[in-house]
Amino acid sequence: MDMNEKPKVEEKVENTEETKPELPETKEGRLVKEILGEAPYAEGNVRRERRVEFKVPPERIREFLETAQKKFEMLIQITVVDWLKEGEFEVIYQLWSVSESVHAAVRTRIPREDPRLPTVMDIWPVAETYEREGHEFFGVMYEGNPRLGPFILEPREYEKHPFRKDFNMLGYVKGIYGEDFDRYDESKTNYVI
Amino acid sequence: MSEKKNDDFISYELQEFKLFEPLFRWARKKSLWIVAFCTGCGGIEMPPLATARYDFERFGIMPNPAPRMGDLFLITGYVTPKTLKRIIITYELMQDPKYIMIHGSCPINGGVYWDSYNVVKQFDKYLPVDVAIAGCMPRAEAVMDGIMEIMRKIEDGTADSWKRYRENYEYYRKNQDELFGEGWREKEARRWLAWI
Amino acid sequence: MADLEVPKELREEAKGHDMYLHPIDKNTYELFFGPQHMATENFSVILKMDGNRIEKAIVNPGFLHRGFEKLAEGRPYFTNIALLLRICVPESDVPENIYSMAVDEIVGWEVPDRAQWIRTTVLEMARMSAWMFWILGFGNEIGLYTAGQWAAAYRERFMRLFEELTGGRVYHIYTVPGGVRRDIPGDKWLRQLRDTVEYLKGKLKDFDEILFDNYITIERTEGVGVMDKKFALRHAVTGPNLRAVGVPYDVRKDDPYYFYPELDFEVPVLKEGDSLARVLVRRYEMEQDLYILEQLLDMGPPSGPYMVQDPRLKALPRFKPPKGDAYAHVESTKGDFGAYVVSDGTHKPYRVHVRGPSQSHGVTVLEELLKGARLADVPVILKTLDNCPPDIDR
Repeated sequence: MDMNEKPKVEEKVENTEETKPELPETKEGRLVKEILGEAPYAEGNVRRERRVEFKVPPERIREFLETAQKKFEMLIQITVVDWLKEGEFEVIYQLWSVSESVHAAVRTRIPREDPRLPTVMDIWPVAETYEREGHEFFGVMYEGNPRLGPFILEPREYEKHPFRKDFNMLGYVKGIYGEDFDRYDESKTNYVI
Repeated sequence: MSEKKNDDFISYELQEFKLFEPLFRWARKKSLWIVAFCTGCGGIEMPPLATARYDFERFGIMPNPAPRMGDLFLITGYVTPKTLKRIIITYELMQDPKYIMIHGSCPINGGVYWDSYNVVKQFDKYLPVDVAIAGCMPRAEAVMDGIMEIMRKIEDGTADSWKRYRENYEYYRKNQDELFGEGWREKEARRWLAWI
Repeated sequence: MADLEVPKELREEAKGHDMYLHPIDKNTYELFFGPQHMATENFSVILKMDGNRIEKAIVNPGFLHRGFEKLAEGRPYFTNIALLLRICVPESDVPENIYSMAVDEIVGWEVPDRAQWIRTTVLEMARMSAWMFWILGFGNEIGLYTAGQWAAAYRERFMRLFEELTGGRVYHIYTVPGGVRRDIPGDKWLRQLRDTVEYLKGKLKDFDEILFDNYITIERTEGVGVMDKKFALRHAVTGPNLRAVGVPYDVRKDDPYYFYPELDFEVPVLKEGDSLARVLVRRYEMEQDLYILEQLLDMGPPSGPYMVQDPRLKALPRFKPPKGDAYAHVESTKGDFGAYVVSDGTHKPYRVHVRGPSQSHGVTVLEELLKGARLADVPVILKTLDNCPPDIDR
């Protein structure tokens, strides 16, 4: 509700070190087991029916996605989450398997300063769009993608990478469009929309 | 474009035609052609307006893609800076007299996007406005009401945004340049229309 | 165009002005298609033309970017519904539903049966009205204006029903995490919905005659913008466009939600992969959607509450879900519409990421399909892909 202060990040999100769960004897469990057999460096578990997830170190993400491509035909989305407090970007490759009807979230974490990842354009050409977007809004460098640059935004906003958590949106808006927009009032803190 | 002085252009209100002025106004009011530029989400209420249920063609209104033939520019919804550049160029391509109606809360004060970095907050800083309709999304009846309001204003001669744009060109130009940076017309608009 | 000789002094002058709209060399020129064009809906494609053939197309989106995902991080969970539904204008219930489903999963709410029934019905009604809107756009692009006039009139029937149910014509703000905002107005509304469904069933035959089985439609669309199966999968094309190349992927079947597992419907699949196949798949889906609505009405809304019973809902602005994340997706008329929501335990979402189907078929796929097409095919390809620019920009 408090719109006027800078967005801040609350506590750590998840305890990443969990005890390794047993893979269930379902189609999802078998799928994860099969992929982990080919890529032992990754961690995988079954979230629920039709949802699985993998954790992969960033150096081997390309290798892993090449393996996963055999089972997961579609790259649905590449999500970037900015964990400001931990100084990391979490990049989530969301895959969908048409043949098995399973959604997979392939997670990897890269440092916030100088975020670099190899492109997966040659595995899924559609990644070009997603990577352009991730680059534009968060500044993640996808090495090998030739079209990184202003795509949706104009150059002025593009340089700021506005979806980063440390981008002060209200300050920026006041600077660009003038201070006299009538929804904004210094003395009030509660705005619903 | 219009860097000429005010008295350089052919006035529609020459003394010789003063007698016919009511006739001209009546004719203008009855044949408003809309520039079909769906600038935001309000564009979705245009097809119902143009078709069976509301049917604005009975008032002589017709959507037309060519700005040179347009009279009425509907700003249907929020305006991003990237669109605003195109809107300004399209508006300047239109011939006088021309009218602007803004549609929805977003061009008036930002609406739900009041804190968005990519939505223009006060549209009338950049282009003059004749009629504004509040609401998100304004119902088709509200849009019809706005159009009737514009017709009334044309008839009594108070729909004068195109004159205000000429008279206060420096003010609008200054605001536009502040938002986009100096020289955006030369740098970018020339890409789209080489003769600007 | 091929033997047009540009006068030398003009070409020199053009170079001085750094113009782009001049002929680049003797045979090619650059054409800006949109945003001020009726087919593109505030979306622009830069075409490099060789006479009437397109050599290269560059998609230039971003006219509708409002930074939804950033704005959603600054608003409480329930308020976000009023914001996020603006992502998909013709089908505004879809973003509401994906966001609500994701939040439901994070909180662990079991949405009551009645709410699920209402949500299913609303989604199907939204699909139907979006199909009507698509007929309007497509019919206008190929010059069959009558079909568009009819479709807009039939869409109004759904708008009226929506208005009675939710209070809004276009933006409904109806589906919220945990259920829906209010109950069905009464049996009269259900009767009206059934009347509308019956009415439209008869009208589909008229559309067949005037649009789908029309010589003009077939001539304009057959063999235009052909995709194959491998290309479509690698480009993550979803929805009717994917089913037109022979992949029977439908979120309602493959990742079922709400009442869809209990409903009996088919997923129409065609193999050709050209624009005509995409048009016909949509035609068959309209039939299926009407059939689904009919089944839902036969089933009748289950009794019970329309919102989960949870004490946390008493203080909505300070509602805090537990930490976690969830991905939810539904089948919209454009394709697979998904949302990924991350919660960090505060009253605002930490990150909301929306996957619009046009992100995949509106950028790279469009650029590929436009290569080698004629200028007159551009609106046909745009409309048969059912490209929705706000999905790309957000």
